[in-house]
Amino acid sequence: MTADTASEPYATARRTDAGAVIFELEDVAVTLQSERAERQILEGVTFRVREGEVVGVVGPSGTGKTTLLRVLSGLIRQSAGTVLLDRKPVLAPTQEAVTVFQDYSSALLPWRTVERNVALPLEGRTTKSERRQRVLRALEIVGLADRVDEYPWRLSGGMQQRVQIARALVLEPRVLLMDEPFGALDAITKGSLHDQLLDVQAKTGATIVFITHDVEEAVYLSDRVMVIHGAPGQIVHEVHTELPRPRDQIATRDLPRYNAVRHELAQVLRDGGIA
Amino acid sequence: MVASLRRAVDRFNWLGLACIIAVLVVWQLLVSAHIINYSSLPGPIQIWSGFRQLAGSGGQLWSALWHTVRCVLEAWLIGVAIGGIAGLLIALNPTVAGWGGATVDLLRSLPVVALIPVAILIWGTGSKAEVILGAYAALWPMLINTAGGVRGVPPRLRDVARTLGLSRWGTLRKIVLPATGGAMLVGARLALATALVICVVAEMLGLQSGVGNQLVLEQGAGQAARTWAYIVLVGVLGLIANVGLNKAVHVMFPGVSAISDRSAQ
Repeated sequence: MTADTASEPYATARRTDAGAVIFELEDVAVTLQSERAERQILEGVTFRVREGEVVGVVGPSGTGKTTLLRVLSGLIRQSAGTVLLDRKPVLAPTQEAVTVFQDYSSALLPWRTVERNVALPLEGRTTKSERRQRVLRALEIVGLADRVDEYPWRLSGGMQQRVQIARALVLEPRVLLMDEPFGALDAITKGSLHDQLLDVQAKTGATIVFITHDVEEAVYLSDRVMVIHGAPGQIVHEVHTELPRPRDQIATRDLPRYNAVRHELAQVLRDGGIA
Repeated sequence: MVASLRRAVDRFNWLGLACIIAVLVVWQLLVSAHIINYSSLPGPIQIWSGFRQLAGSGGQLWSALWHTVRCVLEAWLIGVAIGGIAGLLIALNPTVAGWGGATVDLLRSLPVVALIPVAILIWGTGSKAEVILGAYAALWPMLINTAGGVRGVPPRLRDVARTLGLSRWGTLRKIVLPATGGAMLVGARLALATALVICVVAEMLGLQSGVGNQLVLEQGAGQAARTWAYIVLVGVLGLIANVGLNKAVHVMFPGVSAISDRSAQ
C-alpha cells in the first residue's frame, strides 16, 4: 500500500497534536419510551475519547451498546448529562462524526453503483470533478478503486462493508463511529478487515469508536477498551491495551500483553465488574 | 447485430406461441365440424373476417380504438399523478394520514362501476365523463402502492441519511423516492389495467363512443363475429399496455431494472 501518496490530504488535515479531547461524556443517561413503559437503557456514563484514539466498547447484548453509539452520533438525544463533541453539545448528527452500520446490505443503496453510493453525501456540496476525486480517494483507501461501476450487491460482504466505510471517509470526518462493523462477517474476512481498518486509521488519523461483543476484536483493534454492563448499562471497566502498532494478526496475538488484556476483559464480562 | 437478433429469437417464448396457435386451430376445427354450434360463437377465421370488415373503409374500428386509447392514456396519467402525490403525502405526513386515511379507505372500497351512471348524469356521454371515471379508478392502485412503498423503506436508510447529513428534500429525492420506485411502478401498471377496464365498461354502459360502445352496438345488431373482433381487440390492448409499460420501465429506469435483475439471480 502506498500509504504516503494516498493518505496525504487526510494526514495533513488530521495530524493535529494527538491527545486533544474530542468526545466528552458526563453522567449520561438514556431513557427510551416503549409501547407502555419507559425503560432506562444507560445510566451514569462518563468517559472521554482523545483525538486519534481507537476505542472499543464491549458488552453483552442488551446493555445499551448501540444506544451509546447513537447518542455519540446524535441520532438520539440523551435524557440526562452532557455529550460534547469538540466542546460543543451534540444535538443532531454532524459530519464530524459519521456512523458505519453493521447491516451494510440495508445501509447501501442497491440502485446506485459503488461510486454513486460513496458520492451520496457529497452531492450538492462540491463540484463534480472534486466529488469524483474525493470518491476515488476514499475508495482507494479501502482498496476498492477498481470496483466503482459495480452495484454493491454484486460484491462480497466484506467489500460491501468497505464501501460503507469509504462513504463515511469521503466526508473526511474526525470520528468514525462503528456499530458492530464486522459482526455479520466470517472470521477470515473479519481478520483482513481488521488490518484494513487499522490501515485506514493510520492513513487518515481518524478517531474510531466502535462497539462489539467480540473481546478478541476489541483487544486487537483498540488503544483502549471499555466494558459496558448491566441494565441500565454502565461503563464498569476500562483497559489501555498498550499493544504496539502496527498490529499483526499472528505476532500481536502471541504477545503476553494481548492475552493479559483479553483475560482481564473476559473476567469482567463474566463477573459483571471487577471483583 | 446478428448476435442480438439471435438472442431475441432464443428468448422468445416459442412454446407459448405454439400453444396459442394450437388452441386457435382446435377451436376453428370444432366450429367448422359443427361440434360446437352456437350462432354467437364463430371460429377464429370468421372473427378475422369480421375484423377486416370493421377495419376496412367505412368501418368504425380505428376511430373507436383511437378514442378509447386516448381516453385511457389521459385517465391513466391524471390518476397516476394524483394517486402518486396523495400516496406520498399520506405516507410522509401524519397529519394528512390522520385526516385523510379513513376517507381513502371508504372511497376505495366503493366499486367504481357503480359510479358510472352518476358520472354520465353529471358530465354527459362524452370523453369528459370517461376520462374522469378512468382517472378516479386509476388513482387508487397508485395511491395504495405508493403509500405502502414509502412505509416499506428500511428504517436503516433514514439513519444513513441523517448520519451523512442529507437534507429533508435530499432524503426524499435520493433515498425515499428511489426506494419506493418499484412499488410505484407496480401501482402504475395496475392503474393502467384498471383505467382500461373502467373506460371500456363506461363505454359499454352508456357513453356514445369508443371500443366498448361499438362492441355493444354490434352485439345489439346480432353481429357475433364483429362483437368478437372487438373483444379480441380489447384483450390485445390490455396486453400491449402491460408489455409496453414493462419495456418502458427497463429503458427509463435502468437502476430499478438492475435491482429486479438481482432478485432474479
